[in-house]
Amino acid sequence: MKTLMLNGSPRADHGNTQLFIDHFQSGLTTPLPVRYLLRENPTTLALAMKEYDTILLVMPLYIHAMPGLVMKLFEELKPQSSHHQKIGFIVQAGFIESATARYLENYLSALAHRLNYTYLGTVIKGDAAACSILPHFFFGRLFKQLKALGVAYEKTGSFDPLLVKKLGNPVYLSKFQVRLLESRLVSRLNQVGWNWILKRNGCFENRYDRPFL
Amino acid sequence: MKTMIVREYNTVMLPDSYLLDLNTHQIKGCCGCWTCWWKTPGRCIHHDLDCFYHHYITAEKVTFYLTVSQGFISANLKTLFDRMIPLFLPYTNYGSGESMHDPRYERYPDIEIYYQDTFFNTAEKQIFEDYLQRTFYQFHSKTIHLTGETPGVRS
Ligand SMILES: Cc1cc2nc3c(=O)[nH]c(=O)nc-3n(C[C@H](O)[C@H](O)[C@H](O)COP(=O)(O)O)c2cc1C
Repeated sequence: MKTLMLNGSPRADHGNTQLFIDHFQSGLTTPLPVRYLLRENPTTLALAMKEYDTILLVMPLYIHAMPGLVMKLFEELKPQSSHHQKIGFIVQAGFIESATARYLENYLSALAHRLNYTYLGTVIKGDAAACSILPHFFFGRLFKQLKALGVAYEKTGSFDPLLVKKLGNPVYLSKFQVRLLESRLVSRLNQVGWNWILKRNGCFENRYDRPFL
Repeated sequence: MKTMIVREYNTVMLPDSYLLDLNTHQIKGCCGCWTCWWKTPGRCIHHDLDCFYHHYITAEKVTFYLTVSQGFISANLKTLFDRMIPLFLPYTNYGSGESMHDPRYERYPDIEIYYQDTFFNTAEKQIFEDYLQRTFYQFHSKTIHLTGETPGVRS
């Protein structure tokens, strides 16, 4: 089985997508080749993809869908003449609930169908924006799950449904979670991170600027 | 009424309306650097959209004329959406039962979308419409209207 991994982040190998790829690969005995959409011509990359049995595209969620960069590649893809090629996706996002990526998930499944690929599914993980900012021990459980996803992929050529389910939790925010997140204390805590960065960059006072009025 | 047009088809133009023609304007990609939230709040490191931002945020209505590309919105339009993140704040609220970024500006325009209905099936069309509704809802627009047009025919 010949698999190609694609990194669809505009931050290429400096972002959270790369961490997802690294931890997935840590579960493999033989590392998979990785190509970066940021550094490729989409027409050339679309042609190169034909040489693989399976494509695994890993990307961040951008405005409830794929980054523009990834859509540029999709525009270059032509339907396969047979179903022999497979495609699967791993999407990581900032918002907590994975339902935020369901619009993209619906599209990716329709795209696979449109292009005659066998669809391996879409793994979604929310609350991942700080992966490359906070110390790694905050994400120990996630990285273990990604490694296990890699182990299972090498064995079966597919995504382990149990792990997909675990990574996708919570799908929606429960009423209790909403009340907690909206509470004064937790919403203050949520702002602490942003405010710390804004202060460090000397622009805390400008955080509510409206430059385009 | 102050209006704006963003178009991928049609030659329609209104007097005093700002036009962003996506056929002639390739939007620079978001590089994910967060400068617009962390370093220069509300401003992107690229400046190709400065005029667009001003007209979008001060318009009462923005009308889009969109083509369908690979069953979705075009890569150029998707890039425009990615670049609209400076119009919102990094802070998140959960009042609607889901995560949503706080508005940076007091008001956002009403949205009217016409698109060339070249879909193969209704499922793909639903995905396209749901996505656009979702996006402008999260962009804090109060009114969002979508109309599919058969290419070449204006109702
Ligand atoms: C322009 C832009 C748009 C984004 N839109 C969303 C979104 O709609 N929903 C979400 O949950 N996260 C969104 N995010 C957050 C990213 O998905 C998140 O930070 C991700 O971990 C970035 O991955 P990367 O470092 O590999 O680029 C957005 C980030 C950027 C820069």
